[in-house]
Amino acid sequence: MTMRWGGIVAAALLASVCLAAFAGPMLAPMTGASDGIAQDRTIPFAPPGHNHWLGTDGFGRDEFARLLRGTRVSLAAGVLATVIALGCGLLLGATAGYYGGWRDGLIAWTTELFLSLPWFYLVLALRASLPLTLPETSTLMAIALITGLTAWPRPSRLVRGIVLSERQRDYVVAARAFGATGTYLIRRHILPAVYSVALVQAVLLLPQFILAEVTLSFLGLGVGEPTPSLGTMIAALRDLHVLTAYPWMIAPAALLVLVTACCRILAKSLRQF
Amino acid sequence: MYRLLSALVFLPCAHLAGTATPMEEGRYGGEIRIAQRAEPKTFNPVTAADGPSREVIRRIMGDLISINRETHQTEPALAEKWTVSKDALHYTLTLREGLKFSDGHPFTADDVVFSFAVYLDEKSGSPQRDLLIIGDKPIQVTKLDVRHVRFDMAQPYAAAERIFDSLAMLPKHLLERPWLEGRFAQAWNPGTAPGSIAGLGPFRLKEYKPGEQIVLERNPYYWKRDAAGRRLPYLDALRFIFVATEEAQALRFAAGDTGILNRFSARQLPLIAASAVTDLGPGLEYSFLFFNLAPGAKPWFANTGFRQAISAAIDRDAIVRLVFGGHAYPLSTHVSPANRLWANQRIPRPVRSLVRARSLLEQAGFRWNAGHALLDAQGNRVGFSLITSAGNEDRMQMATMVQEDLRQLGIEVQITGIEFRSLLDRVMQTHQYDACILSLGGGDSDPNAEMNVWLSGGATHLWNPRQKQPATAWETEIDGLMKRQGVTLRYTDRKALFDRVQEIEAAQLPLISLVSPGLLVAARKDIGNFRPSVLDHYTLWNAEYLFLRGSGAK
Repeated sequence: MTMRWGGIVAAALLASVCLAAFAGPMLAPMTGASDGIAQDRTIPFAPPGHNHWLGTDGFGRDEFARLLRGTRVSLAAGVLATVIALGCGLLLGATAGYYGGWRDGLIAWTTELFLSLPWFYLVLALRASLPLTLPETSTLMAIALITGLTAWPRPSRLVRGIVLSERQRDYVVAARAFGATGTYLIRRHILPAVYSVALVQAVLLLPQFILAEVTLSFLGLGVGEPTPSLGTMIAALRDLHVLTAYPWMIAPAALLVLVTACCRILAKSLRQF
Repeated sequence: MYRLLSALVFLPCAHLAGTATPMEEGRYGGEIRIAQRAEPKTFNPVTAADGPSREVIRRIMGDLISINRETHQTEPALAEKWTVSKDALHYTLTLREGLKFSDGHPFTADDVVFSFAVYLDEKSGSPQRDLLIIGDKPIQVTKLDVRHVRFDMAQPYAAAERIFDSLAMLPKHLLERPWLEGRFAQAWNPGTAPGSIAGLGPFRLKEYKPGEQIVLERNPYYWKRDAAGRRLPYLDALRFIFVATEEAQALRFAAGDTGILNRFSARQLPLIAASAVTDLGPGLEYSFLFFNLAPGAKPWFANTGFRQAISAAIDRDAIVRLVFGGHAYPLSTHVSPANRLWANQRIPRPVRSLVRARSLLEQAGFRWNAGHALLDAQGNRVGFSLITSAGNEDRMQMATMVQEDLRQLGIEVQITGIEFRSLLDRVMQTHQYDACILSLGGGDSDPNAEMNVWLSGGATHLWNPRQKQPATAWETEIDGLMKRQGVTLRYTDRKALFDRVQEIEAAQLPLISLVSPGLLVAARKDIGNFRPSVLDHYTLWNAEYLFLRGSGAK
């Protein structure tokens, strides 16, 4: 299979996962425990069957329904953080690359500062400082904001490099000679050259941010119970007995591997494209 | 804060029933490897507050009178005998003859006086200090001669000579100087050369490799002998290796890499051969939910009916089954069924009843809206945050089950797992929390051990710590009862007082007790004299008697 076809398959799989996650409530079996929240304590770790397509967890919650909800939470956090990181990266990278001078110096200094920070511990500390009673959506937004804002330096550097070379091109110089403003030049002539790189960056960053959310939730610092996320679901696998005796509990980990692999293949394919 | 918490597990156990079975005569040689979660923070017995430090220190230090963890009775240790005055205010202890520290230096009454001076010195930062203040006055220690010491107390002390258990005797010749120079807290830190540390326990420190292991070797001067008159311990060495997770510890035990597995949760049972496991039944530890009752907290929490409703709604049997795999025991009060002499048997076993919970809430002025959400008398939606330690899977799972139980009452609970130190800080210092799930106990069954929890002025009076005056009438009553039982000498009188404390607890529910986890330990079959106890340390309390039956010394 060529890389192009690999990319198409990866994109199709990613699209399917997103579709399933966001159309979750319609797909989950309509049974008593189908919301993935309600506990049926009479059937802990029930194997997959007609009522529970992927079995149940230790509290008797439907694993399939939880997987759909959990994927939606993790994907939402990942996409949101990607948008934040790329948005900041584009804005600051373009500003630094186009205007240069003190702006470039200041942004370069800030970039260095952020790159030198132990981002994981920073994220942990910031998360721990949040109020205890944040609603689910606010928690999700906070996680996305924290992870996104700590990851803008790399895309920013990349964008700066491209903008630096683009601003020297003849058509940009000509437009400037005709009186085009800096904002116009960036928006019309320079950023379009950055979009393809930004798209590849987005596909590369997405799994990173999903993993960040998964890590926080795995450690009990992400989205709280009973809302599932891939991280809280994977946390159950810390128990070796669960891992070996109830293989259906591996589903969220398998899905995470699939999403990450698809993103990588897609990014590679986009680069070649 | 940590010192006070740890003080709860330092004091010895009281009078549980038990009979002594003679220890088997063992063979010399070999070593046992034991996994430990974390590295010790210190080898200083006065300042040690963490479990890993204490586990090592207990093996290298000695006390004057010990609690036999099997019989739960006191027995002579460094003191061969003692007398008590008729008014129970004066104890005279006679030290054994010819005692020596592990560096060969003689142990005398001067070391005893020095040790108590250090424990009582506020600057030493000892978690045991509070236990040595009786009737608001410190115990007075006087040397009578080289082998006799007198202890004078301001009031009779109910737990009597048990107070001496676990108070490690210190070598004056090694520690007096740092104490006088005001740097005692830094003495015997993990960087100290093993040769500079000496104790009166069965082993002495041989080697500490950070991140790897601690090796204790036989103390050649140890005083205790077996029935045949041979000097103990039997083992050449104890080797503590650092294994960070309980699961990894279970795997290493299953692989034969360690000889003893000290307390593990039921979820590890499938990994371990059933023949190696000893199920000790309920321990003294208790897990509980409590609300913030400090000034400024949500007003519902101070409502007794609300707390009773929460307790009635919690399905403790399901917690036992799903979280602990059946290896736990539902609790009505903090006193575990393992504590047979102090548990109030008249208090009924907790039974879940949503009907009763709803009725209690209605009586307390709560109501439900059309969406079945619970509202208070002012029409506010009832909901709260529930914190617990993020790294503790059992507590996180209990929180998840409580959340679901209370959802059925229309109460929205938000669970937040936070790091343990941050959690303690919120509970003890800032009071920025609504409700919390924690566990306490494990070291002592005597009511005096939890004085800090039950006295309203106590630092570990978790729901509203360090009150200048008791905030409620029932806390005033508990204060009086606990103080009285602390100086009452007759067991039946003390029991009556402590029964009343439990009745108040069951009615007022400052702590909503959930379950007492069962105690599971494991040991290789070839380890002789393995006699696990329900008291901490569960498996190594008789380390001097442990021996290897085969030639396969590890």
